[in-house]
Amino acid sequence: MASLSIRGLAVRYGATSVLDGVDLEVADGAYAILIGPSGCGKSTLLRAIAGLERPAAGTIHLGDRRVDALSPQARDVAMVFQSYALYPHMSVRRNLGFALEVRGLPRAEIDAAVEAVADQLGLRTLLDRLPAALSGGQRQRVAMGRAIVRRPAVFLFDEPLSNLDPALRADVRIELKKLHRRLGATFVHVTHDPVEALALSDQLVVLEGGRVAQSGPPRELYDAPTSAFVARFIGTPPMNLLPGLGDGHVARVDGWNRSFPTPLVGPVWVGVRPAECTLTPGSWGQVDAVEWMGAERVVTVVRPGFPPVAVQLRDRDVGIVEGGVDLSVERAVVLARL
Amino acid sequence: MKPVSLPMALAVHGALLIAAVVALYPVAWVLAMAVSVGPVTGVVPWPTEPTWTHLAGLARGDVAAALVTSIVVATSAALAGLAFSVTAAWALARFDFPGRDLTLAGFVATQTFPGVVMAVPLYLMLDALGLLDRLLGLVLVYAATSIPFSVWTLKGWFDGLPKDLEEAAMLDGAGRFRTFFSVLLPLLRPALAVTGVFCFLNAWNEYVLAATLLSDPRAFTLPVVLQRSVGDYGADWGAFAAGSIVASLPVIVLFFALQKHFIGGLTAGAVKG
Amino acid sequence: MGLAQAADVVLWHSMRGAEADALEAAAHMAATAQGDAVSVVGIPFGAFDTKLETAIPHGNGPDVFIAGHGGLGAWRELGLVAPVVDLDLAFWPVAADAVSLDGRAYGQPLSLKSLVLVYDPTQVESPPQTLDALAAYGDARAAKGELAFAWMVAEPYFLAPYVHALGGAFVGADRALESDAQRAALAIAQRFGRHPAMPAQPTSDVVRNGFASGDIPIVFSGPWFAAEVTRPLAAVPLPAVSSDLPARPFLTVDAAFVSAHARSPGAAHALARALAGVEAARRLAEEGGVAPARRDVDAVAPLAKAVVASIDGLVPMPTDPGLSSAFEAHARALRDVLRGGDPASAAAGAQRTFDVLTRPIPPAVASWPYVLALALAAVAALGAGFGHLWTQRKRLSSGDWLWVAPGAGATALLVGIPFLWGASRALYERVGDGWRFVGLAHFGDILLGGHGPLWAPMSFWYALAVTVVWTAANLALHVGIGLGLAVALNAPWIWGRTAFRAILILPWAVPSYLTALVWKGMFHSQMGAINALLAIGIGRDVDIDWTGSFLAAFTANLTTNTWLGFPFMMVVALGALASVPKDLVDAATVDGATGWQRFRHVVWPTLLPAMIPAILLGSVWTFNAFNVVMLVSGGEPNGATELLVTESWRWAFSRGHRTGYAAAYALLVMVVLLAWSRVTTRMGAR
Repeated sequence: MASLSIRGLAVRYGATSVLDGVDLEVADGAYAILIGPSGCGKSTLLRAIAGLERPAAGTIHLGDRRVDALSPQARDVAMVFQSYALYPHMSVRRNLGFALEVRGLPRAEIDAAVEAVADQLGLRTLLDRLPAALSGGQRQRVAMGRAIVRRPAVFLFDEPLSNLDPALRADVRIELKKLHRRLGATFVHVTHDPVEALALSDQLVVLEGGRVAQSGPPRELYDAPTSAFVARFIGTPPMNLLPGLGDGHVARVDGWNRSFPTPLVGPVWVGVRPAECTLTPGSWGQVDAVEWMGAERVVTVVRPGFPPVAVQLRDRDVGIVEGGVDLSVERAVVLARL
Repeated sequence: MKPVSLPMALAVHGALLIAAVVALYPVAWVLAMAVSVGPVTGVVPWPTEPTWTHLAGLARGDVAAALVTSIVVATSAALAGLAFSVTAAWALARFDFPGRDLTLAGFVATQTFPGVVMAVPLYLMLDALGLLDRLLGLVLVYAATSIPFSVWTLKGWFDGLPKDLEEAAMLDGAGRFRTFFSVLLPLLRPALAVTGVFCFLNAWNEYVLAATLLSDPRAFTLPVVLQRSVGDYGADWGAFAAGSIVASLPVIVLFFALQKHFIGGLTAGAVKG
Repeated sequence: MGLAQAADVVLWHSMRGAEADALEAAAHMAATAQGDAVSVVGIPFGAFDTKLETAIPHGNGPDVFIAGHGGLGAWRELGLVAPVVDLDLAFWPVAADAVSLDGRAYGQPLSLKSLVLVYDPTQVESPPQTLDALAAYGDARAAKGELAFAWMVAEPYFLAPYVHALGGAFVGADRALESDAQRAALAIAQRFGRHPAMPAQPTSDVVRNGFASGDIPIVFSGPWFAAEVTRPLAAVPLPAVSSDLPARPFLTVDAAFVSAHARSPGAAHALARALAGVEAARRLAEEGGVAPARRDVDAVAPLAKAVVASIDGLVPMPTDPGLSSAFEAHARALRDVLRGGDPASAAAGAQRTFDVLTRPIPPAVASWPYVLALALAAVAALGAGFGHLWTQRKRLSSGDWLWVAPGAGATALLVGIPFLWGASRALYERVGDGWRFVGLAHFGDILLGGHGPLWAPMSFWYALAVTVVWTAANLALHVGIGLGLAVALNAPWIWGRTAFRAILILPWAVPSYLTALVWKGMFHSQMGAINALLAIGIGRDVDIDWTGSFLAAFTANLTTNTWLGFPFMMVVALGALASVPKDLVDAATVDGATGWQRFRHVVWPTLLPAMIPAILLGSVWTFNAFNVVMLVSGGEPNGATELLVTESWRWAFSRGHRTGYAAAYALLVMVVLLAWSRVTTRMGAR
């Protein structure tokens, strides 16, 4: 078990810089999720931690060991690949035991470890099959089992759920959470799915353009994003960003009588979570569309000169919504508009 | 599976049938020549004046010995060629080291030089190494001449193999040797089979170098012995044809023995399914 | 010396059949008599000369070798043969003459070979004694719709008896090829070559088969013909031009030559002498059916007797290395007149060709500017290499190199070093047994056409164009057919898959030397199966001359090479098809893609990376496809279908051993191919 500490990490492919000075601390036993749009460098960061990418600069520590110059074999990390990367010519049993076999452990010890993991993951009956004869979910579990059997200090997951169907994905998500609790190891998990990110993580890391945009507990990122980018990335539907003006003390939005404290001067974004808005009949904007989602309705409100505003309403609480409305908000964050 | 229409199936089978007839026709001439006294003429390759002399002549000691020699030489050359090239192919496909592109280009360059000019220098080279007239020398020459092709072919297969498997093996703690032998080699079986057959045939049918480099009749390979029936004044085509049939049999056997590898999936189950 | 100490004498020969058996027996007999041991090694004829030339100077050659005397000039120049001091007076003077150069004998004559008129005694009572009589006999048979005689008149060796009869020669005289005698002889060739009683394109197979079947009662051949047919035969000297102008065929004397590097010269000379002795000669005459070179041993076989009967007219084959060039030039003239050309202009053309083929070797030049340039280039290349490494900042890790080293090392040692040696010859030319440094003269000559038109058969640029067209056509057919068959065999509903697969690789499995010759036979205009099949197909006679025009000859070559080459591509494609994920194909099917669309957009892009090396190397091999062109069209018509590689070969081996010139040719071939490989790899990278 170990904490993970990254300082000034840079990775370049030729002239292109993929990671550009990443600083990141993950506490021992934490569940960290790396998220960001494609091309933000999240997979590269994971692979750099694994030792599959060679950093151009910076340091990586696992616990108090500096590992950035070590080969992947020597780092004591395990990785679950997006493709699972099961050895197609080996049985499930050998796939699970390969890492121990490589370390030269005695046969009996390997068998015991493999069977213990197989029991945990419900793979007992599949041990003698080849990967080609497994379903997608089973392969995913073999891939996880292969990581677990080694008891590494850090587990790395590269979009482990992306190849599963939605029903299975929810199940595996819960299994992952339980697994994390049971193993107590440090998990680093890459995803592009904000729901997955909020559901699983103790620490959420948003990457943008090869840098860490914001890192912290998921609630902190949800409630108090520090940039428009993070604000839009976390939460579904994403946070509404309304153009406003700051005077150094407060910020105002055209047509609203509320002001929000901020030290910023000039154009700002006033960010409002769709779930933290309510609608009353009025004239600020017009209802453009209403989507019924079962437990809730998402109402889109338009006002000339403003981006469309999404409002999430508890379905049972309100009647018909149409025509002119006023928008009232419980809470907002003010962010710099560049 | 998508059902196939009857006309389509008939057309494809018809085309295959025509191809098979075209492939067989000259071979049938060889067969007819092998059991005829004189040359075979006409449209139908049927023996004129049938005889078993040519086939019986194969029982001569030198043909049998040459057959064994050829099998030993071609098999060793194929194995050595594969061993040399599969490691190089992996390194060239995966590692980024100085001189990599140059090495690749160098392998191709060696293939572009017409063999016509190579026999004599090779002779001098083997003479200098003391390998002249030794089967080891011939094996090395055949292995070396098939390496460039093998490297290129195998590199193509490595390029097509998902990198994940090697990375997974690295993370599992396997070193390069372990990754190579436990993970990659088993996966590359079809490629090794195809390339191995090529290396084998390259050595099996080669005549010019063998005839130039070997002077000890005990070391003669089959093509050299067969070619002896072609002289300055005419040739004994019947004997040549009979010998050619013998020479083709191991190739056919080899192809059959390895054919499941040609067809077996390369990466079935390796990636998401 | 042989008596004092037993020696093991190594004897090389390239004979076959009864002659080889008789020789071997005689050799053992002779050696045993002297208390020596002899190892008799049969070398394939095609490799014999090269082996002698490489092995003897390095001390790996035979002590004694049996060969026709024609190579003697070159052997002496290369210092391969030792003179004979005590040549027996019992040899026919013409035989002793043949093995002598500048008044010194270099071999012990064993047997005589020359052309005679072989006839079928059951059909011919009195064989024709003059050409007119031969023609009259032919006319009579032709009137009945029968063939009468077969004479491989398209080959200079077979016309030579009449060139000599009319006072001409091939080498040695000034402008020998356009002499009046040559013109008159070409007219004779035209008269008989186009005679209705003569088969078209009489190859040795046609001659043999026609005689064996009784269709052709008279053939021009030699003592070796007896081994080829089981039919009764008889022979007389060749018909004379007229009673005062007897035919004068070439004489080849098979002789025992002693290597200049023989390990025990005494024993070697003793063996050679014994092989040429009375006892051995008798054995060779009786068991091998040869014409003895000794006056005191009688010929036994009827053909051998005819050779001896012609002895007064025989002309020893010149040992001048220029003879092969004269023959190549003369053969063109012959084919020209056989197609109806004018003998006088054909002879003039032959002389021009001969002059080009035997043009003087470039003068020696100083080598230091080249050495200096090479050194500077090497320094620059090294500098550029290190500079590149420095800018790339790649890490030098010995671990990486370890994986490449075995393969790269073996290739460098056994391909790279011989290549460098071979390539360096391009700056030299062989003169006698040494090398003359000529600098870039060869390249200038090749590229700028110093010897003739830039765009004609035999010019580099013409051969390059033919080679490029040849390669492209072959590649398209190989890949197209191979891939098509692989895809068809891969279809799940194919019936008889295993059988098809087995049959379709056969062209690859059977030695190509033989199958290429089978194809050549099938392309024979009169006896070949192709014309016969075409005739059946279109319902009337077909007599396409498959070497008569560029297009026909090219088609014949292309057909043969396609047949030889498609199985390789098929096997590669079968292997590559296995790597195409089935899901992808299924996905495309579900997306509504037709069979062709699935192939074009899903299967092909996946196949391509695995196929690129095969395509690249396949194109290299096709570019250098030597056997097919040599065996099927032989470069006909008039060198129009020669590839760069066959041109290179001809310079190295049949046109006076211009090894340096051939190496320069080979280097240029390599430059072209390297450019092509860059294009292909780019294609593959895309």
